[in-house]
Amino acid sequence: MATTGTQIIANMVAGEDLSTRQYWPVTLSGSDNKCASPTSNEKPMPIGVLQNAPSAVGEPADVCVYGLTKMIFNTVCDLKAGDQFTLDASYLGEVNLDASGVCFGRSMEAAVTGCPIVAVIWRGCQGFEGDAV
Amino acid sequence: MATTGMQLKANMIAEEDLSTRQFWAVTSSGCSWKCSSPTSTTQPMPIGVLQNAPSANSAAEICFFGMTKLRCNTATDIGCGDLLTLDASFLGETQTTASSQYFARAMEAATSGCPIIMVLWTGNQGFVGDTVA
Repeated sequence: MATTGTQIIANMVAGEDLSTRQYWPVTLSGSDNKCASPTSNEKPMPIGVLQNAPSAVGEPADVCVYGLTKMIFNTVCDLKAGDQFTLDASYLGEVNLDASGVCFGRSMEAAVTGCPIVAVIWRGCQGFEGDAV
Repeated sequence: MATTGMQLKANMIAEEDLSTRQFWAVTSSGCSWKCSSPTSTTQPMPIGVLQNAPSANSAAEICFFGMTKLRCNTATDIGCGDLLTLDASFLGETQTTASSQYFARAMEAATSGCPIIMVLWTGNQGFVGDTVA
């Protein structure tokens, strides 16, 4: 039986080369309807997970802003199905161990090594103005 | 006119017999893509509402966001628009504690029994370590 799900996609355009960023969280570039890779935790919170790999400014970028998506995690992840996750300083997913830390969603799969791409429910940040990753 | 709506769903697998749990909140069992009935407040937060009634190891459809029916209790009357949390049995009930989490918004009123009512399920946007009670 299939283990899949549905998602809400925002059809944006790339604000930069994102050809190596499929399944990474992305943020708003600051220009209308453009997304970009976050570069520091001072930038706005990610708005979703990039579904494709646009290679130039202006190319279509499909961003999952809510729902089932694949997402890349960091090398130290020790992820169990059902874990709530946050993002590290590089905007890779990691298990949230901070009791008051921001959660972005729930993992649907387990993963223990490498930089795995796993299925998650992305709910996005429901946090507060000024929150940083 | 129809009073319905849309929902986002995850197609998971029942870890256990959930044939009597249609429209109850369910959680991740801890195994990839598997869901189970919450058994205590120390388990991970519910991820959504079961839409069908699967036997063990059968396909389980989970609404993790959107319009769904939800099994509730009526220890306190539920009014239209009430914010709903879950009781210790994971039945929906009106949230009466200020600044406390909620999972859904009631679209219908209920005053007796354990009714199944239409709600807008938004899920928990909380923190690691949150429990229902």
